[in-house]
Amino acid sequence: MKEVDIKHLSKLANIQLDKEEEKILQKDLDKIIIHIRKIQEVEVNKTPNTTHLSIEELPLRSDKKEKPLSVKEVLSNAQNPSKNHFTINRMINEDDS
Amino acid sequence: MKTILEYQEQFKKEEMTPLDLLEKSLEKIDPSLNAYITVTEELARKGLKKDIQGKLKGIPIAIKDNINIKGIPTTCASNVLKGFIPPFSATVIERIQRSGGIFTGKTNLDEFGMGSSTERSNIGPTKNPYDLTKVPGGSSGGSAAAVASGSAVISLGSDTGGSVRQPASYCGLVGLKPTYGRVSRYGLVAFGSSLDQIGIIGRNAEDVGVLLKVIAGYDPKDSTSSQSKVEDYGNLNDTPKNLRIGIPEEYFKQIDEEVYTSVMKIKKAIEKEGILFKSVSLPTTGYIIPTYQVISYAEASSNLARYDGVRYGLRKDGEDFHDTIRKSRNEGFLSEVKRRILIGSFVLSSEAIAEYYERADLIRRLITQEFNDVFKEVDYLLTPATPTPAFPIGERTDDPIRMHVPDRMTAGANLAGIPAVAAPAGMIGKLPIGYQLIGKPFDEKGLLSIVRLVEKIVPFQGFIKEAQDG
Amino acid sequence: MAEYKTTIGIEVHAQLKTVTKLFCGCPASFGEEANTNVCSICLGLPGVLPSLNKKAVELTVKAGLALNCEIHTRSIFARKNYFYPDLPKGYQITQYRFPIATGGKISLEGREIRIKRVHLEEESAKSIHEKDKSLIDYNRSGVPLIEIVTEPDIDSPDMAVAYLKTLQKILQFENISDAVMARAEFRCEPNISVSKEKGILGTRTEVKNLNSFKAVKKSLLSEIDRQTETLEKGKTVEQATIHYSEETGKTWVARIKEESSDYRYFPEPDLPPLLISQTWIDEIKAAVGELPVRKKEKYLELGLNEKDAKTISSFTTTSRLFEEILKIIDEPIEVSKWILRDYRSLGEPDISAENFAEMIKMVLHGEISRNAGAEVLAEMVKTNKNPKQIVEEKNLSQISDTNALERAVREIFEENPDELTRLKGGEQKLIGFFVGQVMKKTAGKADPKEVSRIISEYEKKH
Repeated sequence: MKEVDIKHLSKLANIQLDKEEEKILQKDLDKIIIHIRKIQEVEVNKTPNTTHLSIEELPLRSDKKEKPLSVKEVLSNAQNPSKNHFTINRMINEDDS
Repeated sequence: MKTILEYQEQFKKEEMTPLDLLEKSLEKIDPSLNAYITVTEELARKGLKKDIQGKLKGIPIAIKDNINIKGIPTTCASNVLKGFIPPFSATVIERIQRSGGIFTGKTNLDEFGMGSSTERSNIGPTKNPYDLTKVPGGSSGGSAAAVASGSAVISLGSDTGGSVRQPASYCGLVGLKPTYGRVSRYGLVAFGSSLDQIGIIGRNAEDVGVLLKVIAGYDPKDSTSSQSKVEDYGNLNDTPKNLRIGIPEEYFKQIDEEVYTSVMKIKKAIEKEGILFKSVSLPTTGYIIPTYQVISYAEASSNLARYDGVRYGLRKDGEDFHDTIRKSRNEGFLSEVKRRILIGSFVLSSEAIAEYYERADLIRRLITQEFNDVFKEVDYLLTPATPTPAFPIGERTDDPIRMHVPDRMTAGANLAGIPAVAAPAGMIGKLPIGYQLIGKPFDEKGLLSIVRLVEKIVPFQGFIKEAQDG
Repeated sequence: MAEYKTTIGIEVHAQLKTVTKLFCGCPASFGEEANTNVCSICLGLPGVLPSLNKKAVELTVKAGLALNCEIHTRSIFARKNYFYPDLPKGYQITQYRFPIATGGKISLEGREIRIKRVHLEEESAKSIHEKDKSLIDYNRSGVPLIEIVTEPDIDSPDMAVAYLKTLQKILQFENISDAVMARAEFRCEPNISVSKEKGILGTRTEVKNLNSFKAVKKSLLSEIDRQTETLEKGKTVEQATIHYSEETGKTWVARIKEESSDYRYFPEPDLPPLLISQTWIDEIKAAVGELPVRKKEKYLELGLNEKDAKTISSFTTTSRLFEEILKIIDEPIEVSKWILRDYRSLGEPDISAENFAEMIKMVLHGEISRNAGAEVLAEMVKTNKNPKQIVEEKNLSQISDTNALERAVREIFEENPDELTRLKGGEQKLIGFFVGQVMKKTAGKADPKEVSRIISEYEKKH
């Protein structure tokens, strides 16, 4: 059974926790995981192949143009837009093309 | 207390105008209830001026603040969405507008739908109109409080593990969670994508049916929406005949004595109408909560990854872009949401995914199969909607385990994708308590018909007097 | 230096030739002003849901078929979860365990490169970096991409380039992608390892950010050097992401993969399983053309030389016409001459294969001269009339009748006694003069070959 490592998880979840909150949440998570572990008790070998009762097949959309948002609308909720672009601190060039 | 159809009659006979009804409703908005995040009076008045003829003409409707209305802020009760105004409306909103419905405002919820009390909101808790020291239920507590206190005739909520049915039970209302795929999710801010459905909270079965007919139906923008035929859900005059209703024993354990009595009263009342009751067993019931937690938290951790402050919402500047995103998310989310995102990330992580997420998915199929099998013996299931009536504000805020206890009754229907409705069973002291009916896929009409039957035989006496109009 | 074996596998991402994006109706075109082809869906706003583009599925199936893959009638989309400002939802919708196509192969210079999988996924946004900030343009966000992954069957940088060029041609030929590398429509990420030990693969590294075939070759050569040098020194090669510098021609470790990202893949709950009927697969299969490489091999078998076979097979319209004509007359070399010389110089125009074949037949039977044939061809392209019509109208029929020609020759001999004497005396070159005279006399209609033969025989006899 895997331990819940809050430092690792906060990296995965991209949330920077304060030290105190980290301690509290680690405790909370440990408690919650004990309850979730109940699912280990169930016998799952003979599971049927049904997931949803009501999903039909994936509908396909025809390749026709639809009107996009105006640039103004696109940027309407942005912080510090510049030259019609969204901005963020300098990104490290991680293999962009 | 009028129904939607009765109001429409009044409008036709010119005994009342839609504007009258809107203004009366808005007057009843009580800020101390804290049911509304945004009141949309201007939008409502503009809507009335358009004078659209339709099944919902002039009906004031409250909308949970995780459903987008174009040009109106959507907050999901979260600081992460500070200032966000969507440039599009949810499909259900467009359908309501086309039928003449108008909106009183966006109602309070637990942040992103995660909670069962409407306490975990960035604007603070909503209070239960029956008792201001109690919770209205959650996460659609704002919608339930708005309807129970009379500031809206009917409302939309969302239900992922019980978030429409539980508040309905705590506030003496009818709360329907449709079959998964019955109502389009386009424009509903996603929490647990394979579990979410937009639901309806209203004062009676017919109202809920009338609104359901307007919003239900296939939407090409939602690939999980169903092509299944939309029925006339508002026409509930046929009482279903030769019904068999199951009483699953697992749902009647660990509930308040009075809750048991109230639900049994309902059973006895409709037994007289010739409905057959049968004891049944659903052994997987004990696994519903952990299964629901794993799947909903996993999906939530992914659905909430987009809240990084880059394109909208709260941004807290950091040293580099990673830092900015991490700080923004830390500051923006309240603790319950953080807990769920962290656990969701855990159950999907490479070391844990097989034991947790994939296993939960298999158990989900077992739970679904179990419902399938029981519906060969019976047509519906009758259970309590919640194990207790509304609990005090603050009682469970720090207890993430206890918060999930009511989900035991309701989350099964979400996992199996089947429809379920909560409706008033009676009063326990000052507080209402609800019963629940669970049905087969796309049998919303059958469910609402039984609720209507109960309304006729044992009409609910607990509606708040001040909420009723003249 | 000991014998090191190189093992290369390649992952290619190509932008599909669709009008709209993968999950929304925004135009998938490029080069426009920033953020002008963006909607709520490709911006990942709260509440949106994906809606799958049928054409993108069709092109992916087509690619799978063109690469000899098995097409799966049921495939699943999955979420690949990671954080980056150019990824609006915080996850990419892609395919993981159940892609559309698997198990294909490509023939390359006598070898077979196995194709592991072909799947469909969405593109991320574009970012421009300034000194203190980065700018993001979501026009590209959501554009459909096809991902093609090979097994590690490639054993040299040259072969890697050959594979990429072949794959690019296939994608272009089948109208699946424009696959222009410079426009970032065709991105390749080779992974490479070297090993001294037989049957054991070394640690592989992944090369990213390559912008040309030359860069692919050079970077792989450099990486082979770097890895072998490392191993020769007794050190281990670490799993890493490699970047290549055009200036230095060298590769370097950009990022060690000590902790590979945990993408937490799970099936996309907003998209039910994709069902592709066998009927649809068959329809798409019918539209898949034959690959240039295979065509060339076929033409070589028919007797064409390497150069001609290569030329004809590399042009879609030309090769199609060539094959249509061959169905009517079985003269591959003759037809190829007409295609390569006359048809291509006319600019690959529209012309009916039947008419073209008819004209060639007439030349072969001597009804018209070769020159006349060229004239007929030009006229057919202009007017679309059939060759018999044109020959009649323009009075182009050749005189092949031996008697008529012998008469003409006798007349010319009578008219040119001096030259005849000289011819009899041994001046062979005067045959040409006499042929010319006969041609003049017959207004160009005589079959010059036949005339030449008659004159030669006469000359021999006398």
